[in-house]
Amino acid sequence: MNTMNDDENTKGPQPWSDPALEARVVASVLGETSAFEASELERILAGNPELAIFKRRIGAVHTLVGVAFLPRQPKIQLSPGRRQQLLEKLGARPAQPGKKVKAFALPFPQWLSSDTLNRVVACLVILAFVAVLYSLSLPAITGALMKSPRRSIASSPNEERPQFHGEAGGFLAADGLDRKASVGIGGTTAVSSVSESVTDSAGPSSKPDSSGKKLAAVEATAIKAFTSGWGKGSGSGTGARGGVAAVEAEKQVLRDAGDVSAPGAEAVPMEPAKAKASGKDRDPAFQAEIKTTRQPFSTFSLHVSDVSFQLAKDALAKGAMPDPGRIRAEEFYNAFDYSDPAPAPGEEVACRIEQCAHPFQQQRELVRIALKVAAAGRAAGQPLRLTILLDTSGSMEREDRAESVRRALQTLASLLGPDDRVTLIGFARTPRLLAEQVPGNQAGKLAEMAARTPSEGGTNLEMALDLASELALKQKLPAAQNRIVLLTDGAANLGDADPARLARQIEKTRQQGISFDACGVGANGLNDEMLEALTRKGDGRYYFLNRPEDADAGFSRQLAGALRPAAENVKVQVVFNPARVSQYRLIGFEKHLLKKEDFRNDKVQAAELSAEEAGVAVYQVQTLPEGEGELGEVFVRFRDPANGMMVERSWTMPYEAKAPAFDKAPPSMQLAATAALLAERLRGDSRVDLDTMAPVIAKLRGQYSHQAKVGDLIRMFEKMRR
Amino acid sequence: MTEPSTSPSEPLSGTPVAVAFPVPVAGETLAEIFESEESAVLGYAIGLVGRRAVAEELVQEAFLRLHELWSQVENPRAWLFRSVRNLALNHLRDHAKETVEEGPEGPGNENPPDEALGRLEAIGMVRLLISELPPDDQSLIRLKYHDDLKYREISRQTGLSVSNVGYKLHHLLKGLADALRHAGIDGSLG
Repeated sequence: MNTMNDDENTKGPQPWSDPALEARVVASVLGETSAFEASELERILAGNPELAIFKRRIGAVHTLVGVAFLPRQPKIQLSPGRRQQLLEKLGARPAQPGKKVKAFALPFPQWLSSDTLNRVVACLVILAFVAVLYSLSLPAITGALMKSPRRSIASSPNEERPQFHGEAGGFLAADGLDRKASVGIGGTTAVSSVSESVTDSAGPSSKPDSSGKKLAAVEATAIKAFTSGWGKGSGSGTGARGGVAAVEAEKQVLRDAGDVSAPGAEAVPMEPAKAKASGKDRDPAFQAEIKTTRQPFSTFSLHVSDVSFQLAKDALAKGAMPDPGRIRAEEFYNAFDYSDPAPAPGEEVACRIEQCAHPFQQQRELVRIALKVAAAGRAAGQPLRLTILLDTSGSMEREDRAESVRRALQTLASLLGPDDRVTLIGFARTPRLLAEQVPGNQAGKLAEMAARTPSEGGTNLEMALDLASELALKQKLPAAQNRIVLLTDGAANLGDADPARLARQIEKTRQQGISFDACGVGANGLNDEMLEALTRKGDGRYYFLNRPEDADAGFSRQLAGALRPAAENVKVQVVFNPARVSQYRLIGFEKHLLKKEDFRNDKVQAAELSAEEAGVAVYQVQTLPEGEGELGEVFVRFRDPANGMMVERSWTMPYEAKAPAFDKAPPSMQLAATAALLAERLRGDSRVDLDTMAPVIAKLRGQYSHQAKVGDLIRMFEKMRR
Repeated sequence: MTEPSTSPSEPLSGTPVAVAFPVPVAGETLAEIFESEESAVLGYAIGLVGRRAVAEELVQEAFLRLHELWSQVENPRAWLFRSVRNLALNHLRDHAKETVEEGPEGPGNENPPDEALGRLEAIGMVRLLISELPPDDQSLIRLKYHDDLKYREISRQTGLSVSNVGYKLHHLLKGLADALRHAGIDGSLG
């Protein structure tokens, strides 16, 4: 073939090649040269025929690559008969005349649209699955019981959802994927029945007003108290007083107990009127500043993860810009340990609030709110019922991924005790039950078992999830932590799945008491959006193991925390004082926002915190120097898994007339602000001025030298600044 | 039918990543790859063997083989193009004497003229070579040719310095030019 090129075999630099000159030629071919440089180059080319040939070759390649990237290529297809035959063989949908796929269509959200395809594939897979059922004679890999996977096509009908009986006027979220939930004041009945439990350790409990009627009566006066009486000292706002006396009492106790937050605070009415708004709150898009007079409530599920940070780190390390759509700011600033104080003895949760001036936006402050749950007490003894869904598709066979899985399973096994039970399901094209109800102290075998499971092509997460849900429900122990954990690289296999259906399945299982976690393995090709969305539905944890060596003590802690939450259904509601804060913006948590009234509706599920884990939120606020009162109030509400009781606490966010400048702020504030702002920059906010932040970031290195992730953050900053 | 003379599955660089040519996607199915690559692969095959009917057979064969090996192939696009090329070269070698009798092979089987063939082959080869590049290099080429960005913009997006972008693109294009020459395409198609 290559007869015309006799010089082909001479490897290495050719005599005429002068890299600097060549680079200039390439730059000129690519249109990077000024007119002056171009004419200068012409002169050189005239006297250098070799270089002229080089230019011609590069020009030809340039044209070819350009053509290959033309967005509209002439479309040619196999002849119809052959095409049909091939498509059938490939297990795809039959030819669809009229619908053409562009050669360069970004197939990204294809799983959102290719409904038909999914259905056809699902049917085919079910058929294949039935066939497998009949032919299945899998050798037992260990002594563990081998069973044919079963699948209930329409598992768990609706009548098994007793917790939804009171659903009156529930909101259906706009995107159709969000959780369905009953909302409204009636939801507070649950509160009254459980909040008593709080008293055992903390004295008078937060006892939110339990009667819808009473609340309604309070509302009218409450909003008045809000705008007029805030911050005038404990004599004012009497209208609201009656309804919130219990809160006030509780706060006194908290103060007496030496709580970190400020003294002299005013009570915040629990449920001021005007419940509308929320629609905008739930917009997952970039958050705009919200006017406090219009919506003083900011409510969200306190979800703690660091996956987005890790993926961005990985992308930047490879010299690529992370996808702005995958930047979740809260997963940046929640990646670090700020050494926030643990709750005082007898307390279940502590709160630390810090502020500083915004580094470059005028008249804005940043507020960091950190909530930390007490060390695991009673919950530590809670047994586990784990159902592990292990992706055994071909891509997981890669040595590093297989090793990551082995380490992850080993780590997991090390955290289990004899009372725990693990069920392992491998899945590729079909799910396979590898081991059922293995006692925790024998779980070490699982890693080995997984390693010996041959990988297969294809994947069917839907079917695997159905099997997992079915088994998890069957083996569910009400007193245990019941969880499904998906281990996947998310590549080349989740694509067939219908995410909406998966989300529904996970949500349904969740409502029956089983959480859903996902552990992503390896950054390449990880279907981050989908895993994030699924764990959000399952109120579980989303964590990530990029390389086997990342399965360190930190990962083990993360996993341990994920397996034994010390607080479930953790919701935060920040109520801003319109007399002091003109507008505010929560940085991050866009997909975790809740409606105001969801805060005390315990049927609306939310995220989990593990023992001694801090959940952090960062707000940007504009304060009114001539205004009055404090910034507002922070409420947190969660379920203690040890006794199933709801706990609610609140703290005042004090107004600091002279919030420290960014470079004078405490390191924890600086670190959180840096992480939040870098995330915003990566999301495309060009106002984030990296140069202004540089001196502070230089200092962080010394402050947090023991935290590897802070080093990662600084390296990311340096890459972004270049 | 002949088989690819080399196993295209082993020497391929890297794994599918988020940015490549054309953006490989996590979780892509074979059916999706078929939809997005059918035209390009068929064009390449036609460019190589010059006859539509033969080209279709080769493409079909390549997809069927990919179907069989699906779980082992890390970079299905590159594998596909490489397979088609190998199948085509085998075909040409085995049918060297027949190439004279051109002629139509049936209704609807239009065989393009020679210069178009050269172009189809060259473009297919470029696609093949790019899909075999490491992911980072693919994304660089993509930023330049698909997103039509200047060195400076690429530098901002990737975090590489401007001169580094220039250096890398220089060597990538030069590498492509050399590889095309090895493949018997001197790229001078006007």
